[in-house]
Amino acid sequence: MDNSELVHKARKGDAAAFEELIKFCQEKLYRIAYSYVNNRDDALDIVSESVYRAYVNLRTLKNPSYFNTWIIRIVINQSINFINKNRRVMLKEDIGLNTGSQDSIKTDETIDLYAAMDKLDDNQKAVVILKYFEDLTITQVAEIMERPVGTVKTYLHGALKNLRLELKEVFQ
Amino acid sequence: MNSIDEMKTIYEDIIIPKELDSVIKNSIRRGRITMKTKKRTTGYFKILGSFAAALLIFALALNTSPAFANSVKLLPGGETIVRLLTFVGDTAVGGEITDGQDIKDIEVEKHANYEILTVELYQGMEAAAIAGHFTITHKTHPYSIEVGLAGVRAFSAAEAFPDLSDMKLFDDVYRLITLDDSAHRFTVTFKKPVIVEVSEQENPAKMIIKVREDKETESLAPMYSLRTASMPFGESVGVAENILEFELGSANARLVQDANDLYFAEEGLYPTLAEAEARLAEIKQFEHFTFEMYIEKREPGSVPGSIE
Repeated sequence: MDNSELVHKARKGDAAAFEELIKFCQEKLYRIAYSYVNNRDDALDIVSESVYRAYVNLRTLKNPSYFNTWIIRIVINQSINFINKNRRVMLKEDIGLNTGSQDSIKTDETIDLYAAMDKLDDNQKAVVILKYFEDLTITQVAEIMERPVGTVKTYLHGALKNLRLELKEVFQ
Repeated sequence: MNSIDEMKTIYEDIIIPKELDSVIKNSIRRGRITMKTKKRTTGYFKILGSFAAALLIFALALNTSPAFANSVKLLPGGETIVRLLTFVGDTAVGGEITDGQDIKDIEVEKHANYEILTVELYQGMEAAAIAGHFTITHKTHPYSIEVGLAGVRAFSAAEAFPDLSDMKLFDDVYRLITLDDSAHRFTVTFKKPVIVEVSEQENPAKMIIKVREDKETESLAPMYSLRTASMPFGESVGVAENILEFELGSANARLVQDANDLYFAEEGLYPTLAEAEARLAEIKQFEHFTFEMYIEKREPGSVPGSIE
């Protein structure tokens, strides 16, 4: 069954169909959220809220073939909202804090990456994640971000420039 | 790090937590309940449905916020989280079967967006290693949780409950009479609807109750409480509760403290006066139950009135 059929069923209230839709992309959603907050539990919270909102608002999705684009956009928006709301109390589990969980033990390179990513603005961060980590095309990234392709290219250019500056000793 | 490819490798190496599946299932269940609630529109079913859905949403929201784990990790002393508890319906169960513990102390912490109540358990003069078996049940009218611990013989903390006057969410803590010498209970009330998260720690044994305001819960309708008169803390009110629960089959019987710090046994809460009156008529048929019963209309967040 393809995504469109599942979306169609989910919109009629078939929760199992919705769950199947999410199953296809749940790891991707988690990684995107994690890339914003660098924290396992916060990322789970973001995914949780995003999935809830997607379920409740599924009827607003006009074109079923855009489900993936749509839910990624929800996760990105939720991640940005989360950061803004928690800016003062954000807990980065990789900054000198060994919490004992496996995913909190990071290498210097990982810390470099997240420190550099933190320097990017919200749009630049989204472009890097979607274009380079999720291997989406510029057009797809533009659809998710609801921005013109030219604007996305500008974000990308700025992101790469900033990453090079932040990681200049090792980034070639 | 020498290329975007290496950055991508780091990204792909992000470990997917095993809880992801259950977190998503809970979100979908929460969504289903919200959608069902929206469909209800009129009359009695609207009132009852909103109440039930709000309770269910509350129950499902319990422990679906993994961010709680971090605040626990930051506690000094190297305590180990045993687990975050999962609520089934409105009840969460934790700990292990032990005996002879003491509810030694109850402490509260106030944070910007949440508050924490920590229960410390002792075995003799030493902190217990593992919490005794406990049950936490969510209640409304007023917003509260009831905490029951089995295998507990002393309740030292009841001599000096923490000062809650500065708290935004915690309103009161009070002990409940328990007609079982190997168990103790207490109630924590809240000033507003909250999302409750419970975890247990070991070495030393602690029960940690974190609450944050639930801004999305629908307003609950007032309910009709079928209850006894107010009585002092003691066996009488405990007997009333036991008869209601075990002889009259009142599954939701409980003890509640009123505005004058007296206690009453509540048979149950009913969405309409007619239902409360119908149940009252049934109870009056039971000649061995000699307590006078009253019907009190109560708002979801209000402290019950005193009837003497």
